[in-house]
This record gives sequence, C-alpha cells and structure tokens, in this order.
Amino acid sequence: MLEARLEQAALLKKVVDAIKDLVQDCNFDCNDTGIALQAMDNSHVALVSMMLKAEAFSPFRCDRNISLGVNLTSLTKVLRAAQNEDILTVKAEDGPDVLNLVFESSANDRISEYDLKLMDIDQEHLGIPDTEYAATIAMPSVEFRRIVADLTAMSESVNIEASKDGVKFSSNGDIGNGSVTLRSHTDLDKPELNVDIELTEPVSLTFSLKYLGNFCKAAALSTQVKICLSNEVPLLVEYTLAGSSYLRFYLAPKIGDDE
Amino acid sequence: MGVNGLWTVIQPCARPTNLATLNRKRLAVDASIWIYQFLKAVRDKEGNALRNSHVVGFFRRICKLLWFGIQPVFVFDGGAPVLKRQTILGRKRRREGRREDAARTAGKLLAVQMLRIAEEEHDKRRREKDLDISAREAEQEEEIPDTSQLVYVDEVRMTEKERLQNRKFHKQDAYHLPELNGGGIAAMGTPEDPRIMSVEELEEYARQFQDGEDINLYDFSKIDFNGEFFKSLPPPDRYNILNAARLRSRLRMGLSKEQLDDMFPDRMAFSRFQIERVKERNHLTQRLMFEVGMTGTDLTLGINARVAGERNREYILVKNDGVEGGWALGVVSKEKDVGEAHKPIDVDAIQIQYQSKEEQDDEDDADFEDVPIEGLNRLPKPTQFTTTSIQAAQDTATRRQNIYDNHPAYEEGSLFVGDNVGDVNDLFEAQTEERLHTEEEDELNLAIALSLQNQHGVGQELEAEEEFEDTPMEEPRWKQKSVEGPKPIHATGGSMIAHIVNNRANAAVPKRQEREAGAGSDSEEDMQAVMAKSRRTKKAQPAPVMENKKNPFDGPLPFPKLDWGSSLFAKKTPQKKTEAMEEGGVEEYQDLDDEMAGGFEKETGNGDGPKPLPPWLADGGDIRESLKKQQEADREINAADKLAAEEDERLRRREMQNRLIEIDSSSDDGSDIEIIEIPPSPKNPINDGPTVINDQVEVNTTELAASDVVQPSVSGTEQEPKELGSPEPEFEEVLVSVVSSDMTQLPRREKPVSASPEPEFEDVTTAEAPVENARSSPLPSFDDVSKPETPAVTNRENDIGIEDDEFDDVEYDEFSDPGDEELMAQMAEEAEEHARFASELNNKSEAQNREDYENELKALRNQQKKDRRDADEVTQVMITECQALLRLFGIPYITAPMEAEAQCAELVNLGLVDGIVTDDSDTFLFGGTRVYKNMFNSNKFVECYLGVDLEKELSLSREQLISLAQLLGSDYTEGLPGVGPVTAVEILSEFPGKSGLDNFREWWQAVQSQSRPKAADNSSSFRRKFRKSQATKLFLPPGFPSSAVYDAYLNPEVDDSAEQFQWGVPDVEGLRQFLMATIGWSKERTDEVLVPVIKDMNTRDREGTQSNITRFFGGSVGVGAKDASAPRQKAQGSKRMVAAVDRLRANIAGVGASVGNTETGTGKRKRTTRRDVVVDDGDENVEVEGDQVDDAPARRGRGKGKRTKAK
Repeated sequence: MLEARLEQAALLKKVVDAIKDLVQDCNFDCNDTGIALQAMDNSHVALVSMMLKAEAFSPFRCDRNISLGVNLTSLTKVLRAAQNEDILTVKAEDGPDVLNLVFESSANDRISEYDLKLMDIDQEHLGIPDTEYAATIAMPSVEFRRIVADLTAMSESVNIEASKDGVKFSSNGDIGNGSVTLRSHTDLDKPELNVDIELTEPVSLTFSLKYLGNFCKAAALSTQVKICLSNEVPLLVEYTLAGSSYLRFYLAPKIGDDE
Repeated sequence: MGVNGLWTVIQPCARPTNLATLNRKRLAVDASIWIYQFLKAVRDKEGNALRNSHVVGFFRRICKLLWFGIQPVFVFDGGAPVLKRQTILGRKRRREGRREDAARTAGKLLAVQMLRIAEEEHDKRRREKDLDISAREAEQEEEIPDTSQLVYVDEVRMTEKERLQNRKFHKQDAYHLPELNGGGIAAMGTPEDPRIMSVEELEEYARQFQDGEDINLYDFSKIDFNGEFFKSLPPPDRYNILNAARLRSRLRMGLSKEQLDDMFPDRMAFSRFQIERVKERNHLTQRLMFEVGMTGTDLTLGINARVAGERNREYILVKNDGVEGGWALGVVSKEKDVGEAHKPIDVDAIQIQYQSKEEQDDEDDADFEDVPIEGLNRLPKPTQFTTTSIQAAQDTATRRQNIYDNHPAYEEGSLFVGDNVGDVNDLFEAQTEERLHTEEEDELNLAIALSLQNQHGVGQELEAEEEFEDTPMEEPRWKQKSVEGPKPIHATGGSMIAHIVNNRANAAVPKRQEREAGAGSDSEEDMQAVMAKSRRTKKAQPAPVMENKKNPFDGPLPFPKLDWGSSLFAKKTPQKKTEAMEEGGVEEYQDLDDEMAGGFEKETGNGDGPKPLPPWLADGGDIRESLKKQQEADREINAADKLAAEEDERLRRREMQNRLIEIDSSSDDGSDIEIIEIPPSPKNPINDGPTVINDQVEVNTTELAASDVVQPSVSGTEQEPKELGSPEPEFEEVLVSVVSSDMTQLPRREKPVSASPEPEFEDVTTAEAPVENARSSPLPSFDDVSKPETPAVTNRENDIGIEDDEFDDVEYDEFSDPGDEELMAQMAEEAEEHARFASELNNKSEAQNREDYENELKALRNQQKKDRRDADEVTQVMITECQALLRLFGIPYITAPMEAEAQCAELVNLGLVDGIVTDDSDTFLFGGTRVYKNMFNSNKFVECYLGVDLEKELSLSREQLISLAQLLGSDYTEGLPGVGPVTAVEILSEFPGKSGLDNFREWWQAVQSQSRPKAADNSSSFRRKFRKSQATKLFLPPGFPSSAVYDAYLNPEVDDSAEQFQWGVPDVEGLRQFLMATIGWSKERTDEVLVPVIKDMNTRDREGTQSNITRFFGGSVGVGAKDASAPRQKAQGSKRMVAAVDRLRANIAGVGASVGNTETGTGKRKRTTRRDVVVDDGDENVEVEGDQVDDAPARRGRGKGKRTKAK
C-alpha cells in the first residue's frame, strides 16, 4: 500500500515534463525512503535518475516495495488535469494494476480522481558508481539553458573544458564556431546567480547538445544546476529538488576514435 | 536453417533493442545466411533469382550497420560437418524433387491455362452461335446451350435436312474425299460443283493435316532468323521459335526408312541431307544459346551455317585426299588451300546435280507422286493432332477476334496498308526464297514434299485452275478424276512452281524472266547474295515495292505469290505460337496477317479490280487472254522502275545463271508457256480465302455492334457444310460479305472465276446487285455472311491452337520429347473437356468457372515460383563477391572452419565481439548468446536474445536446446515428423534430465510395442494425449537421441584464435568501381547511400562517437521498457507452452518453486516473476561487466586500427 501526498502538484508535473522526452516508460520504485526512478533513453546515451525522498511528502506511507510501471506520456495527460497548487495524492495497492491520483484544489473543494493503468516494465537498474568528479560547476539553471540553446544553433555537440580559467563551452559547426566561458562568480544579493567552479584537474569532454537541451527542461525545478565532469565518465547534471530530493541526468560523452 | 520453430519457443525472451544502442558494438555477422536470404527472398515477378541480389543486399546492410556505428565482423561458412552434409544431401534431394515439381507445376499451369482458354473459346463460340441463331432462328435458342458440347450434334438438331446432308457430306469429305465427289456432287448436278467442293474441302483437309506437318516441319525452315522481322520479335518469342525450330529439326529425322528411301534414292543425297540437318540444328542451337546469352560464339552467328558448310566440304575434300594417300591426314592446313581450288569445282558439280534433278522433277512425275504419298502417310500423325484441334479451335477464337478488331484499320489506310503488305511480302518472299536457294536439291525435294502437304489447299486450287487452263470448260467428271491424281502432281508442282514460274517468265518476258530468275532463282549458289540485293533494292525504293505487289498479278510474280500462299499458312503458325506466349507479340503477328490479307484486297482492288473485271465478266473463255494482256501492260508500266533499278543485278546474275535458266526453259518450254497464264488465277483463290475471312470479320463486328442479342444457337460450323455442299450459296454469301467492305468486291469475282469459270460468272454479276442492296441494308445479309467464316478460319485456328500447345510445352520444359508435346496436347484437351464437364456438372456460370481457373492458375504460379526458388543454390562466386565488397568497406571477415554460427558463438565467448547478428537459431545450440535478430527488418524491433534469458526464463539450457533440436529438426538432424515447438517443449518437460530423450524413447517404444498399459500413463495428461494423437504417426528413427548431434553442437570445429579484429576505412572509389562492375550502379547511385554513411563516419571521427551510458554504468544489455502492457505480454504463446515452460522450470527449480510458478494468471504472479528477472539481469550484468573489463585492455591492445580506442 502506497500513499503519498504532495503539497504542490507542480513538483511532480515539472519532473515528469522534464523527463518525458527522454524516457517513455519507466518504473517508479517506491519504498519506505521515497519514490525513485531510473531510466535510460532509448539510445542508452542518457540516464535519468530521480529521487523523491519521503520528506518531500506529507504524509508518506509505503508498506512494501512497489514498482509502478508508468507510461510517462499517459501520466503527463493525467497530470495536466491538476493545477500547480493542487494537493496531489498518489495511491497504489500492493501489486497494483492501477495508480490512483487525486487532485485536491485548496481554493475550492474540488476533488478530481484519476486511475492510471500500469504496465509491466522489464527494466534494468544500472549500478551508478560514486564518482569523485574532477570538476564540479554550479551555475544558474537558466544560464546553463541559455548556453545550451545558443550553442545548439552552431553544432550538434559541445565541448566542455574546465580549467583554472573557468569553464568553456565551445562548439564547432558547419557555419562556424562559438564558445561561452564562465568564471567563478559570487553574487551576494542573489545567491541563485552564483557560479561556482570546483576543480581538481582540468577536464575536457564533448557531449551531444541534443541531450543537454533535454536536460535543461528541468530548469524550472531549480534555480541552480550542478554539472559534474570527469574524463572518461558521463556528465552529471543535477537539479536539486525540495529537501534532499534530486533529479539527475547522466550523459555519456562522445568519444573520439583517436582517444 | 537453424532449429525449426525454435524462435517461437524462445520468443518470450526477446528483448527489443534500439539499433542506436549498438553503437560501437562489435557484432559477428553470420554472412552465409545473408547470402541465402538474398538468394531466396529477392525475386522478380516470375520467381527468378535476381543476379547480384546478394551484392546489393550486402551493400545496403553494410551501409546500415556502419550508419549505426556498428563494427561488424563477417563470418562465412567453411566446410560442412558430416552431420550437416547428410542433412544437406537430404535437402538437395528435396531440391531435385522440387525441380521435378517445377516441371510438373509447369505442366499443371499449362493445363489450367488451357482450361481457361478453352472456356473463353467456348464462350466465344457460343456467342457466335447466338448471333447466327438470332439472325436465323430465334426459337431454338434454348436447346443449344444444352448440347453445346458437340458441335455437330447441335447442327443436326438446328438445321434443316438439306443442311444435315450437307454437313454429313462435309464430314465424310473431310475424311473421305472420293465419297463426297461421288455422292454429294452428283446430286448437285452442276458440272463445276464437284470441283469447287473438292477444292475447298481439300483445302480444309489439307489444312487439317497440314497443321500437323506445319508443326513438325514447315514453319521454321521458312523463318529468316537473320531477318529484321525475326529480330524485331521479343526475346522470349525468338527463343521459343528457335527452340521449337531446333526440336523440329531433329524431328525431321524421324521419317521412316521407306520414306527416306523414297525421298533419297541416292545415298549421297541422303547423307547430304543429314548433314544439312545437322548444320541447321547446330545453327539453331547456337542461335538459341545466343538468345539465352550463353554466347561466345557470336562470330559464327552471322554466317555460321555457311561457314560450317564450307568447312564440311573442306573436310570431305580432305578425306578424298586421304583416299589418295591415307597418311596425308595431318596436313589439313595445306589441303585447305587445295580445297579452295577444289571448291568451285564441287560447287559446279552440285549445280549440275541440281539441274539434273530439276529436270528429273520436271520430267518425272513419279517422284513427285511418291512425295505426296509420304504426306498422306503422315496423315495419321496429324489426326492425332486433330484430336487436340477441338481445344485449338477454341484458342483460335480469341485470336480470330483480335484479327477482327484489327482488320478494319487496314482497310481504311489503303496506302499504308499497301506499304506494309509490301514489306511483309518482301520478308516472306525473301525467307522462302532463301530457303529454297540455300538448301540443296535433296532439301528441296523434301521441302516440296512437305510443302505439298502444307499447301494442299493452295496446290489443289492451283491444280484446279491449271486444270481449267488445260481443259478449260470440260466436264466436271473428268475433273473429278483428275482432282485426285493431280494433287500429287501439283504438290510436287508446288515446289516446281517456282521453277516453272521462272521458266515462264523467261519465256514470256525475257527481262522479266531474268529478274524473276534472279529473285526466285533456283540456283543456290548466288541466291543469298541475290536475295540480299533484291531485298535491299526493294526496301530502298518504296514505289517499286508497290509495283511488285501489282506485278504478282501480272505474271512474273507468281513465285512470290506462291510463297504468299504458303507463307499465309505457314507464317501464321509461328505467329500463333507467339500468341500463346505474349499477347502483345501476337498482335504484331496478327497485324501482319491482317496486313497480308489487306494487301491482297488492295492488290485486287487497286491493280486489277476495276480493269480486269469487265473482260472477265464479259467473256469467261477469254479470261486468260485478257489477263495476259493486262498483266503485260501492268508489268510494263509498273515494272519499268524496278527493272531499271535491278538491271545491274540482273546482268550479273544472268551471266551466272544463264545456263541454268536455259536448261530449265528448254526442258519445260512448251508446257510452261501454256502455264504462264495460270499464275494469276491461282493466286486469286488464295486471296479469296483471307479476304473472305476478313469480310466476315467485319461483318461479325458490325453484327455485334448492331445487335448485342446473345442467343445460344447453331454453331458456325454447321454452316460450313452448306458452303461446301452447295457451291452456289457460297458465292452468294461471299457477295453478301462484300457488303461490309467495299474493297473486297474484286476478290469475290475472282473467286468464282477460279472455281468455276462460266456459270458462276453469271451468278457473280447477278450477285453484285444484291451486294449493293446489301450495303444499304446490311442486316438481312448477316446470316449468309456468318457462314463462310468457320471453314477456313476454324481450320487454321486449329492449326494454330495446336502449335500454341506445343510452344507452351516448349517453354516450360525445353527438352521435352515431341511425344511429350502430344501428350501435353492430349492433356490439355482432356482439361478442356473437363472444363466443359465441370461446368455442366455444377451448373456454375462461366465467369465463376473462369475465376476458379484463375485462382488455380495463381496458386500454381506461386507454387512454380517457390519451386524455382528452392532449386537455387548459393555459389562460391557469390561468396567471393561479397568478400570483395567487405574488403572495400574495410570490414574484417573470417571463413569459419566449419559452421559460421558456431564460429560466431565462439567469437562471442572469446570476447572478440559483443554480439551476434543472425536469424539462425542454431547459434544458441553452439553456445551463442546476445543474438540480435530482425536486424534489418524495419517492421520489427531488433530483438536481443541472451543465452542467460533462455535458461532463466524458459529453463532451457544449451543441452536442452539441443534436445529440442533433435525433436524439431535442424541442420544436423531431421527431427521427428509431426512434433512442433509446443509438443517438443512438452516432451522435454515430461522427460526431464539429461537422459530425457532416452526416457522418452523408451516410453514411446514401450507404448508402440503395446507393452505399456494405458493405465500407466493416466497420471499424465500429456502422455495420454500424446499416445492418442501420435500413436499411428510417430515412429522414432533408429538411434533417435543421437549423441553425435549433441557432440556436433557442443564441440563444433571452430577457430579459437583470440586475435583482435581491426576495422579499416571504406574505399569509396573502389566501392564505386566495384558496384559499377558487378551490378552496374552509376557513381551517383552508389553515392546516394554511401556518401552520407561515410560523411557520418567522418564526423564521428572528428567529434567523437556518442558512447552509451551503459559502458560506464553497470548492465550493458540492451534492455528497455517493453512497450507492451502486462497482460498482452503474458498472453504470448499458447497455454500449453506456458504450462510446459512452467513445468520445465519446476523440474529445475524444485517442487516448491513449481508450486509458486504454476499458479498462473494473476497479475501478481507476473510481477513477481518479473522481479525475478530483474534480479537475474543483475547477475547477467555482472557477467557482462566482466566481459567489458576483458574488452578494455584488448581494445587498447589493437592500437593500429584506425578506430580503435585507447585510454
């Protein structure tokens, strides 16, 4: 029996919106610590890892480990019926065939209830090793989105080079090339605009801008985004949600043949 | 290929995979199955393999693999292990069986087609009948359909007593000429009647067996295989004609000894004849090979017959030399020179012989008489053919209609028609002349004999007319007697006619004669050259061509005319053959026919029509004289141009041939001069035949248009007898027919003239008025018009139909014996009979029947296609071509010591590749895992099968898979008949363990030997059911669970070298050239696909390849969400299968697990099992990771490879 109540339906809505372009079907794995999601995109280039801790819900109850196989497109449709401010309650039986969603409007006493059919999804859980990243960049999520958007116009891929001078996003395309360089920057008034670069060793990696663009859809979830880089390791893009909940994206780098 | 039905067993384990996830994966590709697939699957409409389909297929697939960044390693089959060789042998045997099947299917196809045609013909005939009836007797419509089967019976019922009698006469006549003359003719009373009767009937009669003869002998000798006409034919027609001609050339040798003796009193002549035959057959064979594309022998084609002949002569000379000194054999080259010197001498000798023979021909009627007798002797054969004539007649109906449709057009454009006719005539003339000339005297004699049969009708007519001339107005009786006797003479005369004509021409108009002699000269030496020249001149000058047409009437042309006559009948047959093959081609031929017919009309109408008629009408006795005069006049006018053009040729020829001409003329002078007059008249009758037909055609069409009333009625054949029996009505009918076409008036008149000089002329004149009347009101005349059609047309059509059959046969089984053809014809007849029978039986509408036939046809065609496909095999050439392609792509390939699948499995196990691309389920039995299926099927997801999955989900270990193969059958074992995938899994679950199959065998043998009571198996529902269903069917082969099979799968012979593969860079230019050379692709076409792929590879080189996240995190298996919802997924596979799998699992997992698993159906259970799977995957992942770890250093190791990766 699962019962989880979210004060703001917007959270789930935004999460689903952020990942639904990468992943079509996925399992929401529920246990007493919260609701977790891990899924790869079809090409197995990117991986989405979401964790909604129990603290994010009030209350949260999960008696048994349940795997909810959900088609995200369908879930999006159902969630569209919810207002951002609605109180969202997720319920499921043990060994469920459906996921029950209840939206309660706090303004009026409107209650809407939806049952979403579940799927049996055979999904592989990848073991994600804990990595000490050589470079960790924290920056405003909007800034990251802008960089990605700008460079997408130039090329399909972006080279992220982190050095002592800062972080350089550069693209080399058919029409020309371009680059954006960020340095550490601290804004005391607006800490959400801080750019913070921690570097243990210089890193240079190339990534597909298409996937980065998809990641940036999660910008609405958080003002800050954390980008972690390490050579020969997938890029990690992390958006921190309420509390210690997070939405993480992993992206495999492009590997040159000569490398 | 693979284990039968194994894929369906393991289907539940399939993991849909995105191709993109295979980026930078090294995959072993089982190339042998690719070639096999292309060979089997890529077919044209006819089911023939497309050449180079494997190259195209490989190219496309390689491009696709490269596009997705896959690094393929191709593995080719090496030798085949003993076990597989055995099964391959079995397969081959099956294939050969297939080949037989293909022949049989072709036969069936033919039969069905015949059925359909028969049906159509039936339909058509009925429609005709309806028309006739509608005109005549509307009351009796209903009776006809019932008795539609027997034409004659119908006729009897339908018509009056007179007609009955006539018909009877007709029948009798057809087979007993003398009786006819004696009875029916006498009753008629008119003196000319008997002649007419006999002539027409004889014509018909002649045609009947002429058909047979045509098939056997005639057509092809007249075909000019070098001619434009022949070359313009579509290749299949050419092939068929050649093939038939070749068969025919052998047929000629089938003459009885007596016949040969008669033909060749001289042994030398016979041997020469035989050599000729051999030459011709060789010529035809080479042509055939050329058509088929097997040429290396192009050189011989142009001249080959001649060349061969000369060589033969040289050899003969060598032999002579040998006689002088037996040891001179080695000095062939020297003797060649001598031979050249000798050659002319030989040629002269030949000429002399020839001339003497001609003289003999002219003087000795005895020879000729013998010849015709031979023809008669052959009659029995034709009769056999006539049996087929029924169906043939039906075939012809379709043809007839086509002709009808086409006909009107010709009449309209007179000039155009004329030109065409001229060309056609030239063609035919040329062909016939060539034939006459090129062949030697013996040949000539034989040909004459044959031609006699073919031209019986013509010959008879000629005879009759000659008789007229000889005894212009004498009593009918006398002529009757003469009719029988003269035939042979004329027949021989037919061949002689050419000579005679030439002689005549010489005598009458010196210049003309010479030219004629040139054109139709008997001398064989220069004939070809002459022919070529004459042809050229004719073609060069269109005007002269027209003149030529007219000339024939004048007199010099008799030779060509005769040819026409023969060509008319002889030519049609080849045309008809093609009909069977392709309608389009047929139409051409028909056109030609029409043209010819039209041409005749034109000639009569334009040239002679207006002028000659009045004199004829005025004086029957003076016809000859008037004709002469006119002819001469026309000749002078028309031929002037021609003469001028051909003067040079003539002069040259004259020198060469003067001697010959003189001899000929001297021998026959007196008689020839008299005969001169004859030529114009004989042609007329010939012309009449076709024209009448045409008229009728038009009438019919008009009739159809006018009145669509379809009434089952008297068959057209009924009306034939009428004509035959009573000549007078016939004339009237002819006149009536004229109504429809203005042009044909002339032929009408001529016809009467030829048939019965005096009395009928009057009739004609009287008839003319009605004709005009008829024009104004066509309807009343229709009855009569319809009558004439049938006799001539049907007969000819019969011939045609028979030939159609033959050709069909030829097409399908090329080397069938003539006997087979007869058999086929009989079969077809039987089929047609069945069609009628069936339609009577089940009262189905014809449309329905036809539909049935169509369906049957379709099914048979498909069967044929399939058979052909199964009969094809992979050749070494294909393999080398594919390997060349791979080299150009820079893709590594290996040839396995034995089985490619086994090698693939080994490569995976060695960690040299990441997976296997194959659709061959054998791989699992060799220990293969991570098998990608449907890699190139866009309709399906690429499916990934893990060996671990099979074990975990289906509890099928490798050993059990091999056991499964023993039950289902694979490359190594035949399997058990009647055991499908589900049953096999059930057996495995019922008899678990390593010795499961042994237990099964023991049990089953006990069951079959009745030593095991039924009660003992009551506990197991499977055993009970299996006992019931298989008791009488399943017999285990000796040594059923073969340990050899286990061994072959478990320990295959493979190359276990751990050397890493390296991938190179595609050689774009090389690929372009290769594809250009092998499949003729242009550079653009190649670049279309290749350039984007290469570009993509280059950008990948520059920017790096997108790696997969699974490379960095655990679990590299291509697993994603299975898009199907839970229930559907579980529903896959039969319940029995699910139960059997559960039992399998239970056997392995133990009782406790089995209890849990066997409670089927609830979602919960599914989920739990799923969870199990997930856990299993975890295990798998660990293993996979291990692989990866192994890979990494290896990759680093092969630093040379351009796209190798190092850290």
